[in-house]
Amino acid sequence: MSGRLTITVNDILKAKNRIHSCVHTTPVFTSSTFDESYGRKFYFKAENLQKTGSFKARGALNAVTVLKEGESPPKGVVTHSSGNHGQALAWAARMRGLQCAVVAPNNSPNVKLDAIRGYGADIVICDPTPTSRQETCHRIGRERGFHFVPPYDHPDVIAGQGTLGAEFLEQIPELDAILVPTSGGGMVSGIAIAAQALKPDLKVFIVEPNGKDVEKCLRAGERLWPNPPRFLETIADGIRLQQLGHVTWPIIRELVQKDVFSVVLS
Amino acid sequence: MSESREFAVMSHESDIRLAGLETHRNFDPVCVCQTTHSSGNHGQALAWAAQHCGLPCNVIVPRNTPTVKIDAIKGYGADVTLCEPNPTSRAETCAAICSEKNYVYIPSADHYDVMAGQGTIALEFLEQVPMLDAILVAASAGGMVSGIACAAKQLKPEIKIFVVEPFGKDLERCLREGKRLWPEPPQYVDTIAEGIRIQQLGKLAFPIVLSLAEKEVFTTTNAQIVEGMRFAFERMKVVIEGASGAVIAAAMSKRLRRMDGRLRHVGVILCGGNVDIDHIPWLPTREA
Repeated sequence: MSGRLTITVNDILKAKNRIHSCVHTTPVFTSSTFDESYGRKFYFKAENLQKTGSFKARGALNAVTVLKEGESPPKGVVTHSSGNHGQALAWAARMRGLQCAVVAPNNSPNVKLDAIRGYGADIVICDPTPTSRQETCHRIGRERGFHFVPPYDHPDVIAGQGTLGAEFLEQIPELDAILVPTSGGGMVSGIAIAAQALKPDLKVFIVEPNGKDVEKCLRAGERLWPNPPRFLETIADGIRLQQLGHVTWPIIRELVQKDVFSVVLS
Repeated sequence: MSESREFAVMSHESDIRLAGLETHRNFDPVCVCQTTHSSGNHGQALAWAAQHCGLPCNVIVPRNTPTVKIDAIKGYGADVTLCEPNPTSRAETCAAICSEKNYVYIPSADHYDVMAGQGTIALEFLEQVPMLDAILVAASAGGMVSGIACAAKQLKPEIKIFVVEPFGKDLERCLREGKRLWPEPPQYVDTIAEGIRIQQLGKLAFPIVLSLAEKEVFTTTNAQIVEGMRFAFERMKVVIEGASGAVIAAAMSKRLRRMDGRLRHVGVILCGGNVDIDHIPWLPTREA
Protein backbone atom coordinates (compact mmCIF):
# COMPACT_ATOMS: atom_id res chain seq x y z
CA MET A 1 0.00 0.00 0.00
CA SER A 2 1.49 3.34 -0.99
CA GLY A 3 -0.21 5.07 1.93
CA ARG A 4 -0.34 8.40 0.23
CA LEU A 5 -3.18 10.70 -0.62
CA THR A 6 -4.09 10.21 -4.21
CA ILE A 7 -2.99 13.52 -5.64
CA THR A 8 -3.05 12.99 -9.36
CA VAL A 9 -2.13 14.82 -12.51
CA ASN A 10 -5.81 15.77 -12.77
CA ASP A 11 -5.47 17.76 -9.57
CA ILE A 12 -2.52 19.48 -11.18
CA LEU A 13 -4.48 20.30 -14.32
CA LYS A 14 -7.34 21.69 -12.22
CA ALA A 15 -4.78 23.75 -10.34
CA LYS A 16 -3.49 25.09 -13.62
CA ASN A 17 -6.97 26.24 -14.59
CA ARG A 18 -7.39 27.99 -11.26
CA ILE A 19 -4.10 29.85 -11.31
CA HIS A 20 -2.98 30.32 -14.90
CA SER A 21 -4.46 33.78 -15.39
CA CYS A 22 -2.62 35.12 -12.34
CA VAL A 23 0.79 33.42 -12.42
CA HIS A 24 3.52 33.71 -15.02
CA THR A 25 4.41 30.98 -17.44
CA THR A 26 8.05 31.40 -16.59
CA PRO A 27 10.75 31.26 -19.23
CA VAL A 28 13.26 28.47 -19.66
CA PHE A 29 16.87 29.63 -20.01
CA THR A 30 19.79 27.83 -21.55
CA SER A 31 23.50 28.56 -21.42
CA SER A 32 25.86 27.19 -24.04
CA THR A 33 28.73 27.97 -21.66
CA PHE A 34 27.15 25.81 -18.96
CA ASP A 35 26.40 22.96 -21.36
CA GLU A 36 29.98 22.96 -22.64
CA SER A 37 31.38 23.01 -19.13
CA TYR A 38 29.14 20.32 -17.71
CA GLY A 39 28.58 17.99 -20.59
CA ARG A 40 24.81 17.88 -21.03
CA LYS A 41 21.97 20.12 -22.25
CA PHE A 42 20.60 22.00 -19.27
CA TYR A 43 17.33 23.90 -19.11
CA PHE A 44 16.81 26.40 -16.30
CA LYS A 45 13.15 26.90 -15.34
CA ALA A 46 13.13 30.45 -14.08
CA GLU A 47 10.71 30.46 -11.15
CA ASN A 48 12.83 33.23 -9.67
CA LEU A 49 10.83 35.35 -12.12
CA GLN A 50 7.49 34.05 -10.86
CA LYS A 51 4.96 36.29 -9.10
CA THR A 52 6.24 37.03 -5.57
CA GLY A 53 9.71 35.91 -6.62
CA SER A 54 9.38 32.14 -6.19
CA PHE A 55 7.39 29.12 -7.33
CA LYS A 56 5.37 29.27 -4.09
CA ALA A 57 2.79 31.53 -5.73
CA ARG A 58 1.43 28.47 -7.56
CA GLY A 59 0.64 26.33 -4.54
CA ALA A 60 -0.57 29.22 -2.43
CA LEU A 61 -2.95 30.54 -5.06
CA ASN A 62 -4.35 27.10 -5.80
CA ALA A 63 -5.00 26.47 -2.11
CA VAL A 64 -6.59 29.88 -1.51
CA THR A 65 -8.76 29.58 -4.62
CA VAL A 66 -10.07 26.20 -3.49
CA LEU A 67 -10.97 27.72 -0.09
CA LYS A 68 -12.60 30.75 -1.67
CA GLU A 69 -14.69 28.61 -4.01
CA GLY A 70 -15.66 26.23 -1.20
CA GLU A 71 -18.97 26.10 0.61
CA SER A 72 -17.98 28.25 3.57
CA PRO A 73 -14.91 30.31 2.74
CA PRO A 74 -12.87 31.41 5.79
CA LYS A 75 -12.31 35.07 6.70
CA GLY A 76 -8.65 34.64 6.06
CA VAL A 77 -5.66 32.35 5.90
CA VAL A 78 -2.64 31.87 8.15
CA THR A 79 0.68 30.14 7.72
CA HIS A 80 4.22 29.88 9.07
CA SER A 81 7.04 30.55 6.66
CA SER A 82 10.69 31.48 6.21
CA GLY A 83 9.50 33.99 3.67
CA ASN A 84 8.62 32.73 0.23
CA HIS A 85 5.45 30.86 1.19
CA GLY A 86 4.42 33.74 3.43
CA GLN A 87 4.81 36.20 0.57
CA ALA A 88 3.03 33.91 -1.81
CA LEU A 89 0.12 33.35 0.57
CA ALA A 90 -0.18 37.06 1.32
CA TRP A 91 -0.34 37.76 -2.39
CA ALA A 92 -2.74 34.90 -3.09
CA ALA A 93 -5.06 36.00 -0.28
CA ARG A 94 -5.10 39.53 -1.65
CA MET A 95 -5.84 38.21 -5.14
CA ARG A 96 -8.90 36.39 -3.79
CA GLY A 97 -10.02 39.02 -1.26
CA LEU A 98 -9.15 37.15 1.95
CA GLN A 99 -7.20 38.36 4.99
CA CYS A 100 -3.84 36.86 5.78
CA ALA A 101 -1.51 36.41 8.77
CA VAL A 102 2.02 35.06 8.43
CA VAL A 103 4.03 33.66 11.31
CA ALA A 104 7.72 34.24 10.65
CA PRO A 105 10.82 33.42 12.70
CA ASN A 106 12.64 36.35 14.27
CA ASN A 107 15.68 35.81 12.01
CA SER A 108 13.79 36.25 8.74
CA PRO A 109 15.43 38.67 6.28
CA ASN A 110 13.78 42.09 6.50
CA VAL A 111 13.28 42.27 2.77
CA LYS A 112 11.02 39.21 2.98
CA LEU A 113 9.01 40.57 5.92
CA ASP A 114 8.56 43.91 4.15
CA ALA A 115 7.42 42.14 1.02
CA ILE A 116 4.82 40.17 2.99
CA ARG A 117 3.51 43.32 4.62
CA GLY A 118 3.53 44.93 1.19
CA TYR A 119 0.89 42.43 0.09
CA GLY A 120 -1.32 43.49 2.99
CA ALA A 121 -0.71 40.57 5.34
CA ASP A 122 -0.09 40.75 9.07
CA ILE A 123 3.27 39.44 10.40
CA VAL A 124 3.44 37.57 13.71
CA ILE A 125 6.99 36.87 14.93
CA CYS A 126 7.92 33.53 16.55
CA ASP A 127 11.09 31.75 17.71
CA PRO A 128 13.29 30.27 14.97
CA THR A 129 12.21 26.65 15.55
CA PRO A 130 9.72 24.53 13.60
CA THR A 131 7.75 23.87 16.81
CA SER A 132 7.32 27.54 17.66
CA ARG A 133 6.26 28.25 14.07
CA GLN A 134 3.52 25.64 14.17
CA GLU A 135 2.23 26.48 17.65
CA THR A 136 2.04 30.21 16.96
CA CYS A 137 0.34 29.51 13.69
CA HIS A 138 -2.38 27.35 15.18
CA ARG A 139 -3.03 29.88 17.91
CA ILE A 140 -3.52 32.71 15.41
CA GLY A 141 -5.78 30.52 13.30
CA ARG A 142 -8.02 29.79 16.27
CA GLU A 143 -8.07 33.38 17.51
CA ARG A 144 -8.90 34.97 14.15
CA GLY A 145 -10.88 32.24 12.42
CA PHE A 146 -8.21 31.92 9.74
CA HIS A 147 -7.67 28.71 7.81
CA PHE A 148 -4.17 27.24 8.00
CA VAL A 149 -2.44 26.85 4.63
CA PRO A 150 0.79 24.94 5.22
CA PRO A 151 3.86 25.53 3.08
CA TYR A 152 4.00 22.01 1.65
CA ASP A 153 1.99 19.34 3.47
CA HIS A 154 -1.31 19.95 1.69
CA PRO A 155 -2.72 18.42 -1.49
CA ASP A 156 -3.79 21.77 -2.97
CA VAL A 157 -0.34 23.25 -2.35
CA ILE A 158 1.35 20.20 -3.84
CA ALA A 159 -0.96 20.24 -6.85
CA GLY A 160 -0.22 23.94 -7.34
CA GLN A 161 3.53 23.35 -7.31
CA GLY A 162 2.94 20.46 -9.71
CA THR A 163 1.82 22.93 -12.37
CA LEU A 164 5.50 23.86 -12.63
CA GLY A 165 6.34 20.33 -13.74
CA ALA A 166 3.51 20.15 -16.26
CA GLU A 167 4.53 23.51 -17.70
CA PHE A 168 8.18 22.56 -17.91
CA LEU A 169 7.39 19.38 -19.81
CA GLU A 170 5.19 21.29 -22.21
CA GLN A 171 8.02 23.74 -22.86
CA ILE A 172 10.80 21.13 -23.03
CA PRO A 173 9.31 17.72 -23.90
CA GLU A 174 12.79 16.24 -24.31
CA LEU A 175 13.65 16.55 -20.60
CA ASP A 176 15.15 13.34 -19.25
CA ALA A 177 15.60 14.51 -15.68
CA ILE A 178 14.64 17.35 -13.38
CA LEU A 179 16.76 18.55 -10.44
CA VAL A 180 14.63 20.03 -7.63
CA PRO A 181 15.81 21.72 -4.41
CA THR A 182 13.86 20.32 -1.49
CA SER A 183 12.83 21.46 1.96
CA GLY A 184 9.42 20.14 3.03
CA GLY A 185 9.07 18.51 -0.37
CA GLY A 186 5.99 20.22 -1.80
CA MET A 187 7.59 21.17 -5.08
CA VAL A 188 9.38 17.90 -5.75
CA SER A 189 6.20 15.95 -4.92
CA GLY A 190 4.10 17.99 -7.29
CA ILE A 191 6.68 17.78 -10.06
CA ALA A 192 7.07 14.02 -9.55
CA ILE A 193 3.32 13.45 -9.82
CA ALA A 194 3.16 15.49 -13.04
CA ALA A 195 6.19 13.72 -14.48
CA GLN A 196 4.92 10.25 -13.67
CA ALA A 197 1.74 10.87 -15.61
CA LEU A 198 3.17 12.86 -18.50
CA LYS A 199 6.56 11.22 -19.01
CA PRO A 200 7.06 8.11 -16.86
CA ASP A 201 10.71 7.65 -17.91
CA LEU A 202 11.68 11.06 -16.60
CA LYS A 203 13.83 10.97 -13.47
CA VAL A 204 13.16 13.45 -10.69
CA PHE A 205 16.17 14.10 -8.44
CA ILE A 206 16.19 15.85 -5.08
CA VAL A 207 18.85 18.45 -4.33
CA GLU A 208 19.36 18.99 -0.61
CA PRO A 209 21.61 20.94 1.71
CA ASN A 210 24.24 18.77 3.35
CA GLY A 211 22.83 17.30 6.56
CA LYS A 212 19.32 16.58 5.33
CA ASP A 213 20.23 12.94 4.69
CA VAL A 214 17.32 12.22 2.39
CA GLU A 215 19.19 9.51 0.51
CA LYS A 216 19.66 7.46 3.66
CA CYS A 217 15.94 7.76 4.40
CA LEU A 218 14.88 6.87 0.86
CA ARG A 219 17.13 3.81 0.70
CA ALA A 220 15.91 2.63 4.09
CA GLY A 221 12.33 3.47 3.15
CA GLU A 222 11.93 5.14 6.54
CA ARG A 223 11.88 8.59 8.12
CA LEU A 224 15.20 8.50 9.99
CA TRP A 225 15.32 12.13 11.08
CA PRO A 226 15.56 13.08 14.75
CA ASN A 227 12.64 14.70 16.55
CA PRO A 228 11.66 17.39 17.27
CA PRO A 229 12.09 18.73 13.70
CA ARG A 230 15.22 20.88 13.24
CA PHE A 231 16.52 23.53 10.90
CA LEU A 232 19.79 22.91 9.07
CA GLU A 233 22.70 25.34 9.02
CA THR A 234 22.65 26.60 5.46
CA ILE A 235 22.92 29.89 3.58
CA ALA A 236 20.00 28.73 1.45
CA ASP A 237 17.34 30.07 3.78
CA GLY A 238 14.50 28.61 1.74
CA ILE A 239 15.51 24.99 2.27
CA ARG A 240 16.40 24.83 5.95
CA LEU A 241 13.94 22.18 7.07
CA GLN A 242 15.64 18.91 7.80
CA GLN A 243 12.57 16.69 7.53
CA LEU A 244 10.36 16.10 4.55
CA GLY A 245 6.69 16.58 5.30
CA HIS A 246 4.30 13.78 6.22
CA VAL A 247 2.10 14.19 3.16
CA THR A 248 5.08 14.63 0.86
CA TRP A 249 7.18 11.76 2.23
CA PRO A 250 5.20 8.85 0.75
CA ILE A 251 4.98 10.59 -2.65
CA ILE A 252 8.72 11.16 -2.70
CA ARG A 253 9.50 7.65 -1.47
CA GLU A 254 7.48 6.23 -4.36
CA LEU A 255 8.31 8.54 -7.25
CA VAL A 256 11.66 10.28 -6.71
CA GLN A 257 15.16 8.93 -7.47
CA LYS A 258 17.08 7.44 -4.56
CA ASP A 259 20.27 9.23 -5.62
CA VAL A 260 20.14 12.59 -3.88
CA PHE A 261 22.39 15.53 -4.69
CA SER A 262 23.73 16.81 -1.40
CA VAL A 263 25.30 20.26 -1.56
CA VAL A 264 27.43 21.85 1.12
CA LEU A 265 25.69 25.17 1.74
CA SER A 266 26.93 26.24 5.14
CA MET B 1 13.51 59.43 -46.46
CA SER B 2 13.85 56.41 -48.74
CA GLU B 3 17.55 56.31 -47.99
CA SER B 4 16.98 55.98 -44.29
CA ARG B 5 14.29 53.37 -44.89
CA GLU B 6 16.81 51.30 -46.75
CA PHE B 7 19.20 51.93 -43.93
CA ALA B 8 16.76 50.65 -41.36
CA VAL B 9 15.66 47.59 -43.31
CA MET B 10 19.20 46.47 -44.00
CA SER B 11 19.89 46.56 -40.32
CA HIS B 12 18.56 43.10 -39.62
CA GLU B 13 21.76 41.16 -39.88
CA SER B 14 24.60 43.63 -39.96
CA ASP B 15 27.08 41.01 -38.87
CA ILE B 16 25.92 38.73 -41.65
CA ARG B 17 26.44 41.64 -44.02
CA LEU B 18 30.04 41.64 -42.95
CA ALA B 19 30.20 38.01 -43.95
CA GLY B 20 28.48 38.93 -47.20
CA LEU B 21 31.22 41.44 -47.85
CA GLU B 22 33.67 38.66 -47.28
CA THR B 23 32.28 36.54 -50.07
CA HIS B 24 32.49 39.35 -52.58
CA ARG B 25 36.04 40.39 -52.02
CA ASN B 26 39.05 39.43 -50.03
CA PHE B 27 38.93 38.79 -46.37
CA ASP B 28 38.20 42.00 -44.50
CA PRO B 29 39.33 41.22 -41.01
CA VAL B 30 38.04 43.64 -38.48
CA CYS B 31 39.74 45.77 -35.95
CA VAL B 32 38.27 47.79 -33.18
CA CYS B 33 39.82 50.38 -30.98
CA GLN B 34 38.69 49.86 -27.45
CA THR B 35 38.06 53.29 -26.06
CA THR B 36 39.20 53.99 -22.53
CA HIS B 37 35.73 54.81 -21.30
CA SER B 38 34.08 51.77 -22.79
CA SER B 39 32.51 49.20 -20.54
CA GLY B 40 33.99 46.63 -22.91
CA ASN B 41 30.68 45.81 -24.50
CA HIS B 42 31.67 46.85 -28.02
CA GLY B 43 34.96 45.00 -27.81
CA GLN B 44 33.20 41.83 -26.73
CA ALA B 45 30.44 42.24 -29.26
CA LEU B 46 32.82 42.76 -32.14
CA ALA B 47 34.95 39.79 -31.10
CA TRP B 48 31.83 37.62 -30.99
CA ALA B 49 30.55 38.95 -34.33
CA ALA B 50 33.91 38.40 -36.01
CA GLN B 51 34.09 34.87 -34.62
CA HIS B 52 30.56 34.26 -35.89
CA CYS B 53 31.62 35.34 -39.38
CA GLY B 54 34.98 33.62 -39.30
CA LEU B 55 36.99 36.85 -39.43
CA PRO B 56 40.07 37.70 -37.40
CA CYS B 57 39.60 40.46 -34.87
CA ASN B 58 41.89 42.66 -32.88
CA VAL B 59 40.69 44.76 -29.97
CA ILE B 60 42.83 47.57 -28.59
CA VAL B 61 42.36 48.14 -24.89
CA PRO B 62 44.07 50.48 -22.44
CA ARG B 63 46.54 48.65 -20.24
CA ASN B 64 44.50 49.38 -17.07
CA THR B 65 41.40 47.57 -18.32
CA PRO B 66 40.14 45.03 -15.76
CA THR B 67 41.29 41.48 -16.51
CA VAL B 68 37.72 40.20 -16.49
CA LYS B 69 36.90 42.38 -19.52
CA ILE B 70 40.08 41.40 -21.37
CA ASP B 71 39.31 37.74 -20.69
CA ALA B 72 35.79 38.15 -22.01
CA ILE B 73 37.11 39.57 -25.29
CA LYS B 74 39.75 36.83 -25.61
CA GLY B 75 37.07 34.29 -24.84
CA TYR B 76 35.49 35.10 -28.19
CA GLY B 77 38.75 34.45 -29.97
CA ALA B 78 39.93 38.00 -30.60
CA ASP B 79 43.47 39.24 -30.15
CA VAL B 80 43.90 41.90 -27.52
CA THR B 81 46.50 44.65 -27.91
CA LEU B 82 47.27 46.93 -25.00
CA CYS B 83 47.80 50.67 -25.37
CA GLU B 84 48.36 53.59 -23.02
CA PRO B 85 45.22 54.84 -21.26
CA ASN B 86 44.65 57.94 -23.39
CA PRO B 87 42.75 58.68 -26.61
CA THR B 88 45.91 59.46 -28.61
CA SER B 89 47.62 56.18 -27.85
CA ARG B 90 44.38 54.35 -28.53
CA ALA B 91 43.95 55.96 -31.95
CA GLU B 92 47.60 55.50 -32.89
CA THR B 93 47.76 51.85 -31.84
CA CYS B 94 44.54 51.16 -33.69
CA ALA B 95 45.71 52.88 -36.86
CA ALA B 96 48.99 50.97 -36.71
CA ILE B 97 47.25 47.60 -36.47
CA CYS B 98 44.83 48.48 -39.24
CA SER B 99 47.59 49.38 -41.64
CA GLU B 100 49.96 46.53 -40.65
CA LYS B 101 47.35 43.81 -40.87
CA ASN B 102 45.01 45.37 -43.41
CA TYR B 103 42.13 45.35 -40.96
CA VAL B 104 38.98 47.48 -41.07
CA TYR B 105 38.28 49.74 -38.12
CA ILE B 106 34.81 49.37 -36.62
CA PRO B 107 34.01 52.10 -34.10
CA SER B 108 31.56 51.47 -31.29
CA ALA B 109 28.89 53.94 -32.36
CA ASP B 110 29.71 56.41 -35.13
CA HIS B 111 29.25 53.97 -38.00
CA TYR B 112 26.05 53.51 -40.01
CA ASP B 113 26.22 49.70 -40.05
CA VAL B 114 26.66 49.66 -36.30
CA MET B 115 23.73 52.04 -35.88
CA ALA B 116 21.65 49.92 -38.21
CA GLY B 117 22.42 46.85 -36.14
CA GLN B 118 21.38 48.64 -32.97
CA GLY B 119 18.23 49.78 -34.77
CA THR B 120 17.04 46.18 -34.91
CA ILE B 121 16.19 46.64 -31.23
CA ALA B 122 13.38 48.96 -32.27
CA LEU B 123 12.14 46.66 -35.05
CA GLU B 124 11.92 43.83 -32.58
CA PHE B 125 10.47 45.90 -29.75
CA LEU B 126 7.67 47.36 -31.90
CA GLU B 127 6.83 43.91 -33.18
CA GLN B 128 6.62 42.63 -29.61
CA VAL B 129 4.85 45.70 -28.20
CA PRO B 130 3.10 47.56 -31.05
CA MET B 131 1.33 49.94 -28.66
CA LEU B 132 4.51 51.70 -27.52
CA ASP B 133 4.04 55.48 -27.33
CA ALA B 134 7.61 56.24 -26.31
CA ILE B 135 11.01 54.62 -25.92
CA LEU B 136 13.57 55.64 -23.30
CA VAL B 137 17.14 54.89 -24.35
CA ALA B 138 20.54 55.69 -22.86
CA ALA B 139 23.15 57.45 -24.96
CA SER B 140 26.91 57.64 -24.89
CA ALA B 141 28.22 58.35 -28.41
CA GLY B 142 24.65 57.77 -29.57
CA GLY B 143 24.89 54.72 -31.82
CA MET B 144 21.97 52.92 -30.23
CA VAL B 145 19.63 55.89 -29.94
CA SER B 146 20.33 56.85 -33.57
CA GLY B 147 19.52 53.37 -34.81
CA ILE B 148 16.45 53.05 -32.61
CA ALA B 149 15.18 56.50 -33.57
CA CYS B 150 15.56 55.82 -37.30
CA ALA B 151 13.82 52.48 -37.14
CA ALA B 152 11.05 53.46 -34.72
CA LYS B 153 10.14 56.72 -36.44
CA GLN B 154 9.96 54.93 -39.80
CA LEU B 155 7.54 52.36 -38.42
CA LYS B 156 5.55 54.62 -36.11
CA PRO B 157 6.15 58.33 -36.81
CA GLU B 158 4.21 59.50 -33.75
CA ILE B 159 6.38 57.52 -31.33
CA LYS B 160 8.58 59.64 -29.06
CA ILE B 161 12.23 58.75 -28.55
CA PHE B 162 13.70 60.12 -25.33
CA VAL B 163 17.41 60.11 -24.62
CA VAL B 164 18.67 59.27 -21.14
CA GLU B 165 22.06 60.67 -20.15
CA PRO B 166 24.34 60.72 -17.14
CA PHE B 167 24.56 64.03 -15.31
CA GLY B 168 27.21 66.18 -17.02
CA LYS B 169 26.47 65.34 -20.65
CA ASP B 170 24.33 68.44 -21.15
CA LEU B 171 22.65 67.01 -24.21
CA GLU B 172 19.37 68.89 -23.84
CA ARG B 173 21.11 72.23 -24.22
CA CYS B 174 22.81 71.00 -27.41
CA LEU B 175 19.56 69.70 -28.85
CA ARG B 176 17.60 72.84 -28.05
CA GLU B 177 20.26 75.04 -29.62
CA GLY B 178 20.84 72.61 -32.46
CA LYS B 179 24.59 72.81 -31.91
CA ARG B 180 27.45 70.71 -30.59
CA LEU B 181 28.25 72.76 -27.48
CA TRP B 182 30.62 70.29 -25.87
CA PRO B 183 34.19 71.29 -25.02
CA GLU B 184 37.21 69.97 -26.93
CA PRO B 185 39.10 67.74 -26.63
CA PRO B 186 36.39 65.09 -25.98
CA GLN B 187 35.71 64.59 -22.28
CA TYR B 188 34.43 61.74 -20.19
CA VAL B 189 31.47 62.17 -17.87
CA ASP B 190 31.95 61.17 -14.25
CA THR B 191 29.33 58.46 -13.81
CA ILE B 192 29.14 54.96 -12.34
CA ALA B 193 27.48 53.85 -15.58
CA GLU B 194 30.59 52.71 -17.40
CA GLY B 195 28.89 52.28 -20.75
CA ILE B 196 27.73 55.89 -21.09
CA ARG B 197 30.84 57.86 -20.15
CA ILE B 198 31.41 59.63 -23.47
CA GLN B 199 30.24 63.21 -23.21
CA GLN B 200 29.85 64.01 -26.91
CA LEU B 201 27.47 62.38 -29.34
CA GLY B 202 29.32 61.12 -32.38
CA LYS B 203 29.53 63.22 -35.54
CA LEU B 204 27.18 60.91 -37.44
CA ALA B 205 24.85 60.40 -34.49
CA PHE B 206 24.30 64.05 -33.60
CA PRO B 207 22.24 65.09 -36.63
CA ILE B 208 20.11 61.96 -36.35
CA VAL B 209 19.37 62.54 -32.68
CA LEU B 210 18.78 66.24 -33.31
CA SER B 211 16.22 65.48 -35.98
CA LEU B 212 14.43 62.46 -34.51
CA ALA B 213 14.68 62.45 -30.71
CA GLU B 214 12.71 64.58 -28.29
CA LYS B 215 14.38 67.71 -26.99
CA GLU B 216 13.63 66.70 -23.39
CA VAL B 217 16.59 64.64 -22.18
CA PHE B 218 16.44 62.66 -18.95
CA THR B 219 19.49 63.37 -16.80
CA THR B 220 20.44 60.83 -14.13
CA THR B 221 22.72 61.09 -11.14
CA ASN B 222 24.72 58.20 -9.69
CA ALA B 223 22.20 57.85 -6.87
CA GLN B 224 19.34 57.60 -9.34
CA ILE B 225 21.23 55.08 -11.45
CA VAL B 226 21.74 52.96 -8.34
CA GLU B 227 18.02 53.16 -7.57
CA GLY B 228 17.20 52.01 -11.07
CA MET B 229 19.63 49.10 -10.85
CA ARG B 230 18.35 48.10 -7.43
CA PHE B 231 14.79 47.96 -8.70
CA ALA B 232 15.76 45.64 -11.51
CA PHE B 233 17.85 43.40 -9.25
CA GLU B 234 15.43 43.24 -6.33
CA ARG B 235 11.99 43.47 -7.91
CA MET B 236 12.48 42.17 -11.40
CA LYS B 237 15.27 39.70 -10.60
CA VAL B 238 17.13 41.01 -13.61
CA VAL B 239 20.86 41.77 -13.59
CA ILE B 240 21.59 45.01 -15.46
CA GLU B 241 24.52 47.36 -15.80
CA GLY B 242 24.59 51.05 -14.90
CA ALA B 243 23.42 52.42 -18.25
CA SER B 244 20.29 50.30 -18.02
CA GLY B 245 19.79 51.49 -14.45
CA ALA B 246 19.86 55.04 -15.76
CA VAL B 247 16.98 54.30 -18.12
CA ILE B 248 14.93 52.76 -15.32
CA ALA B 249 15.70 55.87 -13.26
CA ALA B 250 14.31 57.99 -16.10
CA ALA B 251 11.18 55.82 -16.10
CA MET B 252 10.85 56.45 -12.34
CA SER B 253 11.43 60.20 -12.64
CA LYS B 254 9.09 62.99 -11.67
CA ARG B 255 9.82 64.56 -15.03
CA LEU B 256 8.33 61.62 -16.88
CA ARG B 257 5.42 61.50 -14.45
CA ARG B 258 4.54 65.09 -15.31
CA MET B 259 4.65 64.50 -19.04
CA ASP B 260 1.74 64.03 -21.41
CA GLY B 261 -0.64 61.44 -19.98
CA ARG B 262 -1.20 60.05 -23.44
CA LEU B 263 2.26 58.46 -23.26
CA ARG B 264 0.81 55.31 -21.70
CA HIS B 265 3.04 52.56 -23.05
CA VAL B 266 6.68 53.34 -22.45
CA GLY B 267 9.57 51.22 -23.67
CA VAL B 268 12.62 51.02 -21.41
CA ILE B 269 15.78 49.77 -23.10
CA LEU B 270 17.78 47.59 -20.71
CA CYS B 271 20.80 47.81 -22.96
CA GLY B 272 23.18 45.52 -21.13
CA GLY B 273 23.83 43.22 -18.22
CA ASN B 274 27.62 43.15 -18.13
CA VAL B 275 28.11 44.22 -14.57
CA ASP B 276 31.06 43.12 -12.46
CA ILE B 277 29.31 41.16 -9.73
CA ASP B 278 32.19 41.77 -7.34
CA HIS B 279 31.79 45.53 -7.80
CA ILE B 280 28.06 46.19 -7.43
CA PRO B 281 27.73 49.91 -6.61
CA TRP B 282 25.72 49.54 -3.39
CA LEU B 283 27.63 46.59 -1.98
CA PRO B 284 31.10 46.47 -0.43
CA THR B 285 33.73 45.27 -2.88
CA ARG B 286 34.31 41.56 -2.66
CA GLU B 287 37.98 40.80 -2.15
CA ALA B 288 39.33 38.04 -4.39
